[in-house]
Amino acid sequence: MITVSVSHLVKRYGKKVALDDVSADIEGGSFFCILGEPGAGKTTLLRIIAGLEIPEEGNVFFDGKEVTLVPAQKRDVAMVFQDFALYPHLTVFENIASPLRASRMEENRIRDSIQLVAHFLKIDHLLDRSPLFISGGERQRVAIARALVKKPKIALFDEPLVNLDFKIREDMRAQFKLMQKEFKQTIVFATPDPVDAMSMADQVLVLHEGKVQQLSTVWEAYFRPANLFVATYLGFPPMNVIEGELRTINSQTVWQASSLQVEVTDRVGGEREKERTVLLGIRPEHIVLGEEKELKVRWEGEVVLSEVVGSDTIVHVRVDDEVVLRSFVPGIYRVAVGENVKVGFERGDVYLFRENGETLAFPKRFWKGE
Amino acid sequence: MFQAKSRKIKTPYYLILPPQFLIWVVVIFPLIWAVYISFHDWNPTISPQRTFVGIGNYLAVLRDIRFLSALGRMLYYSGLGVTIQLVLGTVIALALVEYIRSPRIRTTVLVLFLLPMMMAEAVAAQMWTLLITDTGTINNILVWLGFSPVGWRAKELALTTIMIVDIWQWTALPLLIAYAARISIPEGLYESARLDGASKWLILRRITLPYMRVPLAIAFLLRFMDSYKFLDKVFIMTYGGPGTATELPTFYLYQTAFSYFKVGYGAAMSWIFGFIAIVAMFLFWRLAKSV
Repeated sequence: MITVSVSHLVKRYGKKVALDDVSADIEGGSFFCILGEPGAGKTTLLRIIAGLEIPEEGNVFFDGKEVTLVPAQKRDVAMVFQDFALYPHLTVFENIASPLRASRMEENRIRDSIQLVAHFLKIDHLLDRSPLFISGGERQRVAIARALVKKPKIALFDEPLVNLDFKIREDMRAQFKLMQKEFKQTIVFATPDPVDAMSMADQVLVLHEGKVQQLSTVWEAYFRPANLFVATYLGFPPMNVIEGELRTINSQTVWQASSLQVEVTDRVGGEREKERTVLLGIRPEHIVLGEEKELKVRWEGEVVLSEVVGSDTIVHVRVDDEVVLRSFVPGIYRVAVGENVKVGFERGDVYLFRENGETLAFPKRFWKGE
Repeated sequence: MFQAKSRKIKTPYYLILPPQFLIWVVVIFPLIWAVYISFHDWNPTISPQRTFVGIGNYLAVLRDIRFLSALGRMLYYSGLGVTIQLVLGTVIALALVEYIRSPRIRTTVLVLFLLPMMMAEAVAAQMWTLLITDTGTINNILVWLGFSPVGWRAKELALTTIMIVDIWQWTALPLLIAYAARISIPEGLYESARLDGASKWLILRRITLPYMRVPLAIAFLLRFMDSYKFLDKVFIMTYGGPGTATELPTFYLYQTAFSYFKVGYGAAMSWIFGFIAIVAMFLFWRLAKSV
């Protein structure tokens, strides 16, 4: 297990800046997730760690030793590509064996290593088949087997779940976590899907347009996002964001957007004078529909849409002329469009952001360590 | 109603009638005619009389030392020549992709390699004939470099000389096919192999060559077919000589039928030669499939 560090990486493709001053430490044995939209620079970062690309600026270190210019062949790194890149003219067995053959391992040791990893990934029965004639999920497990069989210093996964259907994706998330524990493998996992990060990652690096938005544990990124981008990116459905202003009413600080008000005195401290436009964020899972007496903030509105996602419901409620809030209701919740409902949430669950997107205040929930 | 329908069905047949007619006149009838002629002894310059000899012509061809040695020469010329073209073309194609990164330079170099192929066979042959005379440019360069001049058209070397000229002109075809095959291999496989820690040799053996197998087999077949019917360069550069040193079956066949006018004998020879081609292609495909 080694610690991988990248420092101040810059990579351009023509005029497009793929990575802009990216630094991170990836601890040995950890599950490290690179999260970002398509084009954020995730693949470029993986390829630089793998040695398939050389950065224009910055360095890569394996256990403190600089490897920026060391070719991929000599880095002892494995990578699972988005399209799996299996050799179609070789059997599954030979595909998995290829890194071992490259290192001139003895035939019976090759066989044993492959048996072990194939058994774990439940692909023993496919070993004689051609990768052309197995399913997408099986192909992916073959690609993973090929990456893990040589016990690389670090295993890189480039969006391996995006090509798979929903059900297999669910299974694979659990498998990945188990696998990482079983093989005590350092894993770097690039994904556009925050659910992947939240279900598997120890650490998460959020990238946006080549720039690091946040590098922290995944829960810290969820509860204490560095900025509006991270806040809205992590979590599904995405956070509700309403633009408003801070006002002082009866010596209390109040966030206000036309008819909507939230008292935030204890949240903004001395900053209240400086901030005029402030964005208020509230996660859909923290908004409760109906009469809940305990809640400090209660608004009224009209249901504009109710969608059932899986076995949960997302209800869209118009609480002001231009403001529609999404509320996440566990289970199937039946409500008619046009119906008037009450929405409520805790003041402590509110996020506040400056106009430029920087976070002004985190929810209280995390402060108590709940 | 019925008439309209039947006319509709017949129309396609009417449409293919002209080419059908041409094929019958130019291909099928001469083939059948050649079978008929091959069972006869016939020299139209001596008499219009055709004497039936049964399979006599065929037996004579199979015992004809001149024909058999022409076949041997073709084996040397095609086997070695085409193999060299194929290997050379593949090596150059792989080197272009491996060592020239700039697409513009790569295309320029590729086009330069293709130029000889765009030249008419006869023009290339004529040009080389001038270059390889005893006091020609090539020998002048050799002498200038301190070597002794080479008798390019001497008995021992003439066939090899033609082979070299053919390699010069036609390596471009396998090169082009190999290049196209190489750049169609997904780059991801190479990256994957590099991460596996595979050496360049292993990558060549396990990815590149297996992937290029079918296109290369096709390139070999195309060049082999061309060399099988090869005539132009022999005709222009040596006219089969000195003696029979560069006499390939096609050239001997041409001589027999159209210089000596032993038409029946020539027809039998062309059938035997054709039959060998069919067997060769059949064996080749069996081999290409099994590899």
